[in-house]
Amino acid sequence: MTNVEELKNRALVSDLMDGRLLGSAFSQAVDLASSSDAGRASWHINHIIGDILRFGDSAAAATDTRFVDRFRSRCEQTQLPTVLSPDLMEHGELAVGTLKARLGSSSSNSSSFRWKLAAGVASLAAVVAIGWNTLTGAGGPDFAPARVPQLVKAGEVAAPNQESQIMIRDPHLDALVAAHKQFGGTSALQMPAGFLRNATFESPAR
Amino acid sequence: MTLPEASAPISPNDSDLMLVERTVAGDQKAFELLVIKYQRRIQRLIGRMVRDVDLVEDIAQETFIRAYRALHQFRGDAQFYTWLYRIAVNTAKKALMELKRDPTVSESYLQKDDDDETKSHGNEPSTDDTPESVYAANEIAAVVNAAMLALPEDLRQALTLREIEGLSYEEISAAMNCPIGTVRSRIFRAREAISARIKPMLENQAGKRW
Repeated sequence: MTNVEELKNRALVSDLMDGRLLGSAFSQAVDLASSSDAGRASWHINHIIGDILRFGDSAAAATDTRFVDRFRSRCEQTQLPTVLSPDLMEHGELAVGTLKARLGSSSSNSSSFRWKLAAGVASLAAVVAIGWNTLTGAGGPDFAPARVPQLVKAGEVAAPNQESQIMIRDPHLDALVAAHKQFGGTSALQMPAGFLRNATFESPAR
Repeated sequence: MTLPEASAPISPNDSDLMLVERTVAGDQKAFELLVIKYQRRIQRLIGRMVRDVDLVEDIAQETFIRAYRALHQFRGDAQFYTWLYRIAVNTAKKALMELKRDPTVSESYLQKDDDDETKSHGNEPSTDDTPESVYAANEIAAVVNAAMLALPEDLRQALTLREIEGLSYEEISAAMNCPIGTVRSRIFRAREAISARIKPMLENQAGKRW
């Protein structure tokens, strides 16, 4: 590259810094400043000069091109999604690879929408299920109509009500309980516990 | 296409917006230009919040990574640096919260301080500097200032109005009573003269490559 070309390129970068370029000249300057060593150096040095003149302190002169290198490597390592505008995607002006990378990546917006959709469907299903159970009475004990407790006298094997409900009793267990009834009159706290048993076996005439 | 002299002025902030648009269109290198442009200001800002040698660069990196991820949300209503500033402050606060430390400087102070960009902050050393890099930075700053003083009056005035006062080419043209093309030429020549003085110093620093 001749000196004249280099000078032209640096002038282009200077114009880019000051926002003087449009269209193809802008694209050319961006390519130059970001891709070529000379253009990159020019962009970097001109901004250092500007920062020193503006801020006047030595901190503005702190230069470290490794910062950008590190940023680039972090982008590559973390595989940051390529940022694409929706307009470009709709018009299909992008390379297929880039588009695939975009679609394959975990975009926060689309991902968030999917989660919201899934949560909405789950909520709706839960409401429908609860409503159905309430209407049909086929739910758990909380939603079933209260039933009258069946009272069974001691010694009876089974006391089914008029419906099909059956209480299963074990005769051997009943005999055992009856045999040890004398020890069950008081609790360890010396409180009479008979009323508890009576509460179980007493008739509704109480 | 270079702007014609009669066209509406475009500020460097518009240039930022164009770089953002180009990045959003899929060109990551355009964003790297913004990183180069703002890395010192962001590190400087974070350095005043954190004052921790090891944290400043990490938080600055995280700031740019977050900005890149969220770039499609930038609408251009505010300046790009204003948007980046908010991300940097929030990233620094989050990092300090995670470390159970409080920011050493309040955000209101930072905002007030940052409004006046031409204000000198004295010779506060950047927190991530070694003595060697502080010395080199001081030397570079001194050479830039000396080179500025050595410029011909018209070049120095044009660059001062552009870089320090932030005027557009059109405003500089009016102030200096000369065509915009002449303004452009003077600013470029001034930058070239200063650049020629500091470029060897930058290239001699260890680890520098463009």
